[in-house]
Amino acid sequence: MESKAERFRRVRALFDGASALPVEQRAAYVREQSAGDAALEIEVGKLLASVESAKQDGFLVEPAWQRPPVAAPIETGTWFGPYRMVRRLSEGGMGAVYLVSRADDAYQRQAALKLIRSDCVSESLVRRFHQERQILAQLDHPNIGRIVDGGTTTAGLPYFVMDYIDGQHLHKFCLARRLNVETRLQLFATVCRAVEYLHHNRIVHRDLKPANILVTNQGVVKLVDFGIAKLLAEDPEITRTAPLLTPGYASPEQLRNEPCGPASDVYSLGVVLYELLTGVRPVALMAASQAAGTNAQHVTPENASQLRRRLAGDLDTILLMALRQEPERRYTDAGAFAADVERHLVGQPVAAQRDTIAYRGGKFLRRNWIASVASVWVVAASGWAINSRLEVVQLRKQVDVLENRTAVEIASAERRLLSEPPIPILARLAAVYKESFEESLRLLPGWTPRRDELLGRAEAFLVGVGQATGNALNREIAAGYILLADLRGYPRQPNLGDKQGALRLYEKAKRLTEDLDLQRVIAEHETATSMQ
Amino acid sequence: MPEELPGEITVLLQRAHSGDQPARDEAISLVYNELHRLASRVIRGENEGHTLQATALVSEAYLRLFGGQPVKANDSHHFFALAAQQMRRILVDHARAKHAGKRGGIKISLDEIYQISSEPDGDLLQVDEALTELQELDPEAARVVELRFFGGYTDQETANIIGINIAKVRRDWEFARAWLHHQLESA
Repeated sequence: MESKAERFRRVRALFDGASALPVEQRAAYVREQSAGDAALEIEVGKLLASVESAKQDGFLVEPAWQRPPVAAPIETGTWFGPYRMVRRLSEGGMGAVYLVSRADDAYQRQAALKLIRSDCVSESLVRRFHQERQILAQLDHPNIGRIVDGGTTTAGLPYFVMDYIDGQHLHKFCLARRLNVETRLQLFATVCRAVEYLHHNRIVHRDLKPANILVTNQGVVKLVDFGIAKLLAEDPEITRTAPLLTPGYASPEQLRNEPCGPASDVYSLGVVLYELLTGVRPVALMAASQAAGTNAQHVTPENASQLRRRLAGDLDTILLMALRQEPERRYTDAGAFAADVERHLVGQPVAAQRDTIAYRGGKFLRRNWIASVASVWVVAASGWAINSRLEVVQLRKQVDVLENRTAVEIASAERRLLSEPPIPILARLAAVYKESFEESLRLLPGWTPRRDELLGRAEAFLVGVGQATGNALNREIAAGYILLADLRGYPRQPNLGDKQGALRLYEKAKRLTEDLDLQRVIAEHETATSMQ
Repeated sequence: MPEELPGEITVLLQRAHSGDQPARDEAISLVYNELHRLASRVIRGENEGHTLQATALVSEAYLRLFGGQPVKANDSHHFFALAAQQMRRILVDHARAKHAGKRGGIKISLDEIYQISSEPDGDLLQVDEALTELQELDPEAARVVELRFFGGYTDQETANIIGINIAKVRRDWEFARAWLHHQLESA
């Protein structure tokens, strides 16, 4: 007789197996695998059916502590003053956003209408909103979605009418177009400049996150949803406040419920940039986004190596400055942040300072930053999803093993060069570089001093073989140079991203041999490398 | 700030993780008290501007307990896992007290402020019961439910906390949700 635990394991295994299949194949799979055990077949069948019914019921979808939307659903066609509801666009912490159209005499205009939830409303909010909406409506900046109007529903709920922006979230836009680091940084600087404009108008956004930064199909950045959080946060009569912050992006002072200023926006912008570049948010657990890895999968290896180079320098410093715990140690406002990103883009020295005494928060962040970037490289190169830092650590171990193997082989080759026949030594060395070394690059791409050294030693070894054998092995040596050149920078395989080094080695190989096959390979690889 | 020195929680978590039971109990009571205190404050309206989400409560408890100190990933993983357990305990204790017509430590009805998803208290207790059963059979899948449902973490965060990959989290979640749903329906 099967124990309960054993029975459960079989159920689970069948369930997992079936879940991996298209819906229409599941029943047949379960029947076949149950091998006549009808009770088992029925049990797994019921569980599979429960997947659907649980989905339909929204079972456990919302976390246990989540507050439900309070606003009653609004029906299509409902009028808010002169605005007619077309459809719901999104549901947020403060209320839902609807697409509305304004039917004026001459033309129809679309707008986004944000209806504040009933539990977020107080008399004073409505009063202050009417006072401030004039100021908000006067804001005019090409990268800001304006607040164009506002009013109160018959039930007394205030609403804001904003420009309707038909665009994608910043991060999705970058993913969809597979933008490189350069372009991402440019877009980000534009975002900062728009926030700077708000700061100059004494408005703190307070809720900067990818969902509030839209990019139109024409590539124009539009910041939306500013000012509203401020109105709500400052309202003295609201005691039961709705979620006014987004945990992953909120600054430490916001989390502590302390006063917010421009530096709080700087922090949130820092999170946005960090995520834009690495695919994950900085404080791993407070924030790690569900989309981590999705982003990374779209970063091409070229981008990753570009990122790595930049990371080693100013970009890291800039991010650390924006993400400091203490507001007064960050950039003073979004303009200063923008200026530094722009300086970085044109290769000028940045204003951000690294902490001289390794600052504890910074150190912590830096560790995470490196881990996240490492995972980006890995995913970029292999297409595997890397989901935890643990896996990165394990990968690094594997990489170390592979590189150690290469190091042992080159040392042994150097030792044996003058005492043993060179061709087997060369063949073995080539195999190790081709397999172990290349595999390590595949796991964790990019330039490291150790890799540079390993390739340098192999090159020196080939020179040594040439000296020891006269011209007898020129063809083999040339082939060796090609192999090393490929590892340095041939774009169609994992490489160090060292284009110059690769071209130099192709040149060396070219001069060494007249073999037509090799010459053809060299020409082909050289072209691809120099064009990258 | 809590009276405990910042850093104490780190030490306790580390000792707890290496099997020190008294340290584990102490860490649990520290985390439980802090979360409970924060939850009660929100309920009494003393915590203006605070969001009512599990993640925000946990984030604040985290900030307070660690006093803004840098925390090793490992230690914070332990903390987040512990916090989810305690969030479950607070909710379940409350639901049970209310169900029995009594009031627990929290004086004002939680459900005025929190909505326990779409489950009324009775359902929440059933979920808890079924989850306890699942813990026996499939501890990993049950853990995923605890972190996602009671801790409010995303798939990715859950994966980081447990140290498994996200695909496994999703498989566990899909299975556990179906299994629990089935249990509740046939109950």
